[in-house]
Amino acid sequence: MIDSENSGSSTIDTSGEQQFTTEQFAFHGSGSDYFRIWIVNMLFTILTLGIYSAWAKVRTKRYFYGNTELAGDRFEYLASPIAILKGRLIAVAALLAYTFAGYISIAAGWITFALLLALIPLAVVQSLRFNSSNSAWRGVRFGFDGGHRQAYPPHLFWPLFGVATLGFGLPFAWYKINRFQYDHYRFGTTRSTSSATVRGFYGIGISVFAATIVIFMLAIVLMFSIGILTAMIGGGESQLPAEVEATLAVFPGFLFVYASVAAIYQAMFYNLVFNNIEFGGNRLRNSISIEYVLLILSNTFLIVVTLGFFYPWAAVRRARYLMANIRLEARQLDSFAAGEFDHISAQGEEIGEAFDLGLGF
Amino acid sequence: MNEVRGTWFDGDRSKGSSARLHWSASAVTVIADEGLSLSVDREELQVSSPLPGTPTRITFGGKESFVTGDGAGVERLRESLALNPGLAGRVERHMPVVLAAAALVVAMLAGLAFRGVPALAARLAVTVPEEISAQVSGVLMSQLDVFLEPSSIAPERREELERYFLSHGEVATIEFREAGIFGANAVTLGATMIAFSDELVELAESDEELLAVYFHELGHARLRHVEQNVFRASAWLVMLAVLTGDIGAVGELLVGLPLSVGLAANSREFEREADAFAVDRLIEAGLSPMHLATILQKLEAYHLRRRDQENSTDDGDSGQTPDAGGEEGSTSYSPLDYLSSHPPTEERVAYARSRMNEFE
Repeated sequence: MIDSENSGSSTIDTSGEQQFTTEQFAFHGSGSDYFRIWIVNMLFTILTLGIYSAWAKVRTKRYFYGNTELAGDRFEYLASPIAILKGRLIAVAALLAYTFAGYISIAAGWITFALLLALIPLAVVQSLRFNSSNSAWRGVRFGFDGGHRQAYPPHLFWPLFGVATLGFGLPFAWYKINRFQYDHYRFGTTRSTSSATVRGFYGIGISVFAATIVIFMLAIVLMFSIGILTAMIGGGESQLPAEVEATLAVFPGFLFVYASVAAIYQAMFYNLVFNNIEFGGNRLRNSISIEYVLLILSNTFLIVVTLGFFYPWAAVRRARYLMANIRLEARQLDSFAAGEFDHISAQGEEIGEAFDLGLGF
Repeated sequence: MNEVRGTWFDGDRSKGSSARLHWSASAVTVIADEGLSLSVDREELQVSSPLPGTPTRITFGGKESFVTGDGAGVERLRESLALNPGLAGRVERHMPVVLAAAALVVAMLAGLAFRGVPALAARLAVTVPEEISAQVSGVLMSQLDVFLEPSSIAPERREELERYFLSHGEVATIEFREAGIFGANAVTLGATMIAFSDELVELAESDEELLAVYFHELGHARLRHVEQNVFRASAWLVMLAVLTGDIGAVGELLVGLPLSVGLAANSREFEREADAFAVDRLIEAGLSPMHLATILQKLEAYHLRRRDQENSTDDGDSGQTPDAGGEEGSTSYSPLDYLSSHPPTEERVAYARSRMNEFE
């Protein structure tokens, strides 16, 4: 098997009612390899006026899946670029319709917005189906069995309820979304189940809210002191327009707050969700720590100072950290049976991406 | 050696077996260590395109697959079966080519941002029918009206100004509003609508100064600057969505910075075009270009005065004069927010003066 020397630790635990071995996930990609892929993707995408972006996406995902290892074998991404291209064209059309409708009349803007909102649950389901059924491990595909109608309460009603209650209902919406998604994934014919609780999601909501306030205040103090310092040093008239200057001054603080809050939220979310998933008796275990926030902050800083060129290394560092902190308590991994595989259009996934719904398995 | 080692998956069960794939001129065979042997049709053979550092997946037209991390072995397979590694695979392999690609990407992005997108927007803007443009103006005006009050200037005076402006170049609608915190200002809201604030009308000491402002705004309207900006912003949006699809939210934030700087640069260039238009029209009407210079200087002094007042009263809060367009800043124009998107007043006054020789 591939890279069997890296296949992670296998410790036997006999304390439970049934024996299991611990299988560590691992990411083997390198920043310089991904840099090659990334830059060539970008070049071809520009040269083909965006058409190649579907092929680019498949190559990127193949690289990240193909370098993620569990129990000696790598994951596989099998999607067809043509399916993604079709979805991408529809998504761009929807994006433009949404942009222009608001200029024609305020009513048209709202109607388009409402229409797109009503389509989100459908897009989410398509996206989950497409992504999962094009992901495989040991030659067996994943899948998603959630229905379109079932997606409406978690992906439309409960988030709107969350907004209507000024955010107090939002963790409950996260809980509903999590249940809908992780109770309907399957590997071959085996369903996943999630046991994350409402309480857990409220814990995240409260912690993230508190962290946001603290970090925001920290950023203001920081920027204020930087402002005083530069005023003392500089003071000369600047040649830049004030709008640009103001953007440049506020941007670092904003980015700092945004990146740290996003990282804290992600870390807590991954821990809660991935610690509560089971596939036919095999349990995931996730243990991301505060280190993750430092990683994201340093990635963001390096991406900014290199004008974006650090991105491939940042993406690889992140994947490596995440995979180093997730493992599987495996009871049996050899006897998952494949189901019949179905072909799903990529459209849902592309709409999800163009509107940044932040979907992902 | 016509052989590569890897793992064989039957596609039915999540269990792999150690195997080797053997090929000759006539046949491809997979031989599992456990004894299974399978001959496969060369026509059905599919080898995944090469990706640096990533295992290769070989399929045979069905659910079975053979996966190998032996890059050199796969290379031999490709060669002897004359399989095309694909253009991307070939380019990625050579670091100098990759670095050249990086330089090309930077150059092309800059070209698109500074030439391609503006040229496309300019071409599309002139195709927008006036009725659509008027509709857009109506929407923008109603959004602005949330922050504005009805004009308190006497209707007779407004009609007089309107007639005076329209006698020098027709535009469908001229609006007057009391702008409150936005102060003296004027905006173009499309090809057919220009709005003046009461404060601006009061600040001007002659109707010729107001006419100069009107000509500047008419320049924006005639040159379709509002429409151009709508198209530029949309083109940027699509470009970013396509290029950064895989980067995620922080990435979008990062590309948003050059976007906002770029839009500010765009609007400076539009301001110069509108100034040139205004000076042309003033000369045509037999009026001095200095009327434009005068009102620009008054506006600068006015806004600096307001800024100082604000600073002394609320102690802090940036004294920046907001664009009357508010959030629509990029889609409406005023000659006044010289502090941000406009070229410095000095430069604009110098321009008007430089064209004095054409006026006599």
